Amino acid sequence: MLRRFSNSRTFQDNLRLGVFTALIAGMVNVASLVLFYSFTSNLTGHFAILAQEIADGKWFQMLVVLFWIVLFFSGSFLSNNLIINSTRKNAFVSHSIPMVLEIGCFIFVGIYGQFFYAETLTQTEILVAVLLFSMGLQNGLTASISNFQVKTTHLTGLTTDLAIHLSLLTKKKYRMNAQVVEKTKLMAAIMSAYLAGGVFSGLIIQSVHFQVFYFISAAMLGVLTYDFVKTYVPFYVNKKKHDMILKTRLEKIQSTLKNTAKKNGVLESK
Amino acid sequence: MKRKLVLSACLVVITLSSFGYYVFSHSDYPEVAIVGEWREVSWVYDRNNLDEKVKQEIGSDERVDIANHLVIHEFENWTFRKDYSIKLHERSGKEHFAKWRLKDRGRILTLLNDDETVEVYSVESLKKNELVLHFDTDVHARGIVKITLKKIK
Repeated sequence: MLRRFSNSRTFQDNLRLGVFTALIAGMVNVASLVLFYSFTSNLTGHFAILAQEIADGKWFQMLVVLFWIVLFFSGSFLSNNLIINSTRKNAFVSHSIPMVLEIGCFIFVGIYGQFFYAETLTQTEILVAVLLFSMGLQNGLTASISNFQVKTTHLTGLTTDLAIHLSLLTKKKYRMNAQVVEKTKLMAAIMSAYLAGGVFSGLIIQSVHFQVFYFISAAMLGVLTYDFVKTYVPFYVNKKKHDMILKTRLEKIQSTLKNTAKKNGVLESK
Repeated sequence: MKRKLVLSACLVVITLSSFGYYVFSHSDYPEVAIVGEWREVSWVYDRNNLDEKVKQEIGSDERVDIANHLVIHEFENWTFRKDYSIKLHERSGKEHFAKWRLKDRGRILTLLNDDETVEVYSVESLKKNELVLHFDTDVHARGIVKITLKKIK
């Protein structure tokens, strides 16, 4: 899911990445809406609120919204920076760092919410800021490694693009185009996953509250482990096989050399 | 090159942290401003009927109709305390205690009653001496009710 980069990714890679991250985004957004009365996976509303706060002259409220936007921006910036500075050798590691940071954010929100949260305004705003940073990380990661094919928190753009692609599919010419069909499938899957994540989160949040973030972290950790196994296990298995083959060949050469030396010794003594 | 990158990263982290510290050390303003005693001065629907030029005051009977699921219709005075408790009271001596919290940069006011029911109000405006709250009602077609409170002390 995370190993391949840009154009070397297959449709299946992007589909898996899109569905999984959209599920996470949907869950986080509904959880933050229920717990903090604030959206955390989308920024369009925050820009509108920022403009409104500026117009109303509420400077500190405006700064809070601006800080949230800056954190989302920083998350995406950091993700992409890690990816473009990675080499082919450490691609998995650098692609995983944003996800590890994201898991760290979720665990922090989960622990703080469960044990220390007194529902004050400042605490709420800080936790929303942490979640916005994590969503920025995720959006930056998915968009960057998929060559901008997958954007899981960008539902306005996604709905527009899906509508455009579905209208294209009304013509036979485009239905024959595998790229258009795949892109439509990908977008529909992301949208459904986002919705499913939101519904699931909405169903469990009243009984699990902040523990929903542990659940999300566990799921992400599971994906990271799966990807790690897929990346490194074949490498070590192949290395072992390769070493064995080398060893056998070396032994063969050594025994051949020994035999030749023996033969030569016998001939010389004769 | 690497040194430059590390320096830039440190600079960004320091700037962001300072910005965050400055913002959040001042962000409790709505929580400070709301503390005190407030008296209701009006209950009106946010939308008028076509023939109404002035917003019509909602009478006490109608208040019971549209807000019978909320505790606020029974009280006219609201005292927000620093410890996040609220006393709703009337001259007759009738009182109700709950906990209050502000969410979403002070735009949402929640009241948590002892029976664990939560009432959610939208803070339309919070000024030094005036607090305007909105709440949705599905009983009446006109929807949103606007409650205006004035600060007494």
